[in-house]
Amino acid sequence: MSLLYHVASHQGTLVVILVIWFGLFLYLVRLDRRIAELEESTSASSRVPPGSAGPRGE
Amino acid sequence: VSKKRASRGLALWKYLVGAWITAVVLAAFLYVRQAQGFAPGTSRIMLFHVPMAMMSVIAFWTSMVYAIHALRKRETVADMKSEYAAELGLLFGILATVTGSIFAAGNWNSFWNWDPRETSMLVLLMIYGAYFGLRSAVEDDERRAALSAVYNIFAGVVMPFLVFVVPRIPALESLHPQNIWKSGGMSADYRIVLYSGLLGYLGLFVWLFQLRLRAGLLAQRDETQSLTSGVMVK
Repeated sequence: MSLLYHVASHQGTLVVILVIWFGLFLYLVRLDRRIAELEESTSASSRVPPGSAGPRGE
Repeated sequence: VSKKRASRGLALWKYLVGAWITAVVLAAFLYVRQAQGFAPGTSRIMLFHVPMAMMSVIAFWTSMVYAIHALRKRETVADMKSEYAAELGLLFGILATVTGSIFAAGNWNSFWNWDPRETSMLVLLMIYGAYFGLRSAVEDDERRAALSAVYNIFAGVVMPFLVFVVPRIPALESLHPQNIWKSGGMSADYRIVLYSGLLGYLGLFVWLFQLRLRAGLLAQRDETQSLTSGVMVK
């Protein structure tokens, strides 16, 4: 009962902190993936000798 | 294949950091009880504020270590690492100051009290703010790296004095609780959540640092490529 009261009296703050944290975490996961994609495309383009076909055969 | 496996492994520890910090937040609200001698609901702020301040110090020292490395080896990457660690130190320092102000408003009736610890933290943030000012003022890469590394070492030497010595001078009469680190100063539940929080922030620091460095290296590679293609066109 005391734990329920404890949660109820601070649930607003807890929810706000969790929403901020989840938002930040998901943003970081997306950013990480985006950087990994860019790293991959940059390393692929740097492997292609100048003047030859690009990574998509252009 | 091994590179893909490595990146999957890294992704796993990042998800673990996410889960760990979520658990720390939940524990701060559901496991830890109100401490005696504080305004209702404010004592748990300490569980976020103290590890953030500790993380700020760790980040600034990391920055100093890379600055020494940059100065000795004249490596661009070491200079970048030093800058990015200082950025994160500043971020954690600002977060510690903001959470500390919320705690101060609840317990000492004002967001800012010119307490020795508050003031020394402000001075520390200004010192590192000036570090970024210095970096943006010098255009030549090598000169900027050398000057900012020397400044960073100076800031790293001054920091322990501001963080550990000034707030403990008895004549300055700090409002901050003084005996929390001594035995009996903090209950077991507070200690567990506080150190778990520090561990979580350490993981978050490593992740953010890595992201910043990877983005910085990409930008640098892009700049080098555009310069090379510019030379080829000429």
